[in-house]
Amino acid sequence: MALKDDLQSAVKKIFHDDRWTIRDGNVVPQPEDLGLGNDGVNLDGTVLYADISGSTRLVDSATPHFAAEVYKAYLACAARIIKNEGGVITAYDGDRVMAVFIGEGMCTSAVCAALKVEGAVLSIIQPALKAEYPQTDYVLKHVIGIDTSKLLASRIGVRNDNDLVWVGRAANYAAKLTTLSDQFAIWITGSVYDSMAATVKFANNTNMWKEHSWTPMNKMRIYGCGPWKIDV
Amino acid sequence: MSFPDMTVLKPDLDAAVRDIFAGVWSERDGEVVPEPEDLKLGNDAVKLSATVLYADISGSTALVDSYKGEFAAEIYKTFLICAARIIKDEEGVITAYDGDRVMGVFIGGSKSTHAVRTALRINAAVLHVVNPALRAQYPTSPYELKHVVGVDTSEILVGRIGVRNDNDLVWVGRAANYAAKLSALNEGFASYITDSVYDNMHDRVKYSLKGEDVWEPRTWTAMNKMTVYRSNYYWTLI
Repeated sequence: MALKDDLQSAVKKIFHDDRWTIRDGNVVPQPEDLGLGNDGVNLDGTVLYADISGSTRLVDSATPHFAAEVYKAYLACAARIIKNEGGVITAYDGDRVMAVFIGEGMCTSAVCAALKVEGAVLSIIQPALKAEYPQTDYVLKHVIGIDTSKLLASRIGVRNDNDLVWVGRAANYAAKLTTLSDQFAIWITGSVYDSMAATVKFANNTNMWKEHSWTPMNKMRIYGCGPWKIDV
Repeated sequence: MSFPDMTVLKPDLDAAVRDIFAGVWSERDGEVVPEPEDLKLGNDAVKLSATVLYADISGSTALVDSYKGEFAAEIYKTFLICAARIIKDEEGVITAYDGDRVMGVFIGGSKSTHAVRTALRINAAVLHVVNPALRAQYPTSPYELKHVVGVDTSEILVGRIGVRNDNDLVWVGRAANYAAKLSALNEGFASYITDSVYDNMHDRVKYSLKGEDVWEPRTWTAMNKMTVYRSNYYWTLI
């Protein structure tokens, strides 16, 4: 079949032919849990994106091996901490990682993971980097964005690919939050702030979070955190 | 601080990070786009000269904020399925789906021409396949799919992050960064390419049938004022 006919029938199938079958999920689905058509899983989920900031400067000015070591160190720590907190890694893409947390305490777990990633950056990665490369003035900066909402997970429908799409506010906003200033290592939405436990809100009776108004996003209420961390 | 203690992680992370920074790299030139199983978990890398493409739905925040989940999912699925099939048809390899975007990698002698033609054909798919089908199915909906494709080319180092069982490749190099950043531009153009891509691609993806250059230079202020090119041209799907 010519490509155009092939695309037209695939698109028609999605918009017109297929009816949605949607079930509520209580685990984060894998691609094989879903059919290739309009099959979906609804979840209440908390989405976390962790991104190295200034990665363009890093790849432009450092050797590729140094940059690769920084990527690997950051992403390896982030992935392990996320899994340790019960999150599921749903995508590695370039220099960032996406994870989904579900269930009771999902906001607290996601924020706890973020604070521990910050702990790993400050207490593990940065010292190891300095020990191996005493001359370098490179300082690893990162931004983690977290939002929570209803999510619809579905497959794009490309056989053999790991092709889940995550549709919902949290997936979008969490990714967008990582593009904010790295003055704060962690940015969360008001919904996350309102649902998370006091254990990740206060340290030594001080609120770790500062309220901001996110101007391009209808001035929504968001919170930045830094330089607080949790030691891993 | 009175947080749940998970000190068991620290020795593990310390060792993993130390191994990464101190490890000696083994590296080879790649002739194919690697899969995670082609690389070892340590500092093992494949070097590629590659053209990277990111295709991204623009305005997806407004889409998920204002429309039903199923409708937004149909838009995501139709866009990404078209992008994925065109990338594969142009001999590119899909390396990641992440939210509402897809990353493809092209290698070989005509990699930039293939990647740019992919961008132009994705534009045709949006204009001539997805949006007409969308209007046919939802005649009263004001929604119109817009997208941006970014393309850059450079040396790329591919390594594994080192998380067992995960599809955990990292793509280190300018093209991976710039292509993603270009696809985030939102100023009414469907395709952006860097000057390196523009200089390397074949004339047939540069000029229209009338011989006019279909690419317009623009200074990318945020990126050291480098020159990039933008276009709303499409390559007709057959």
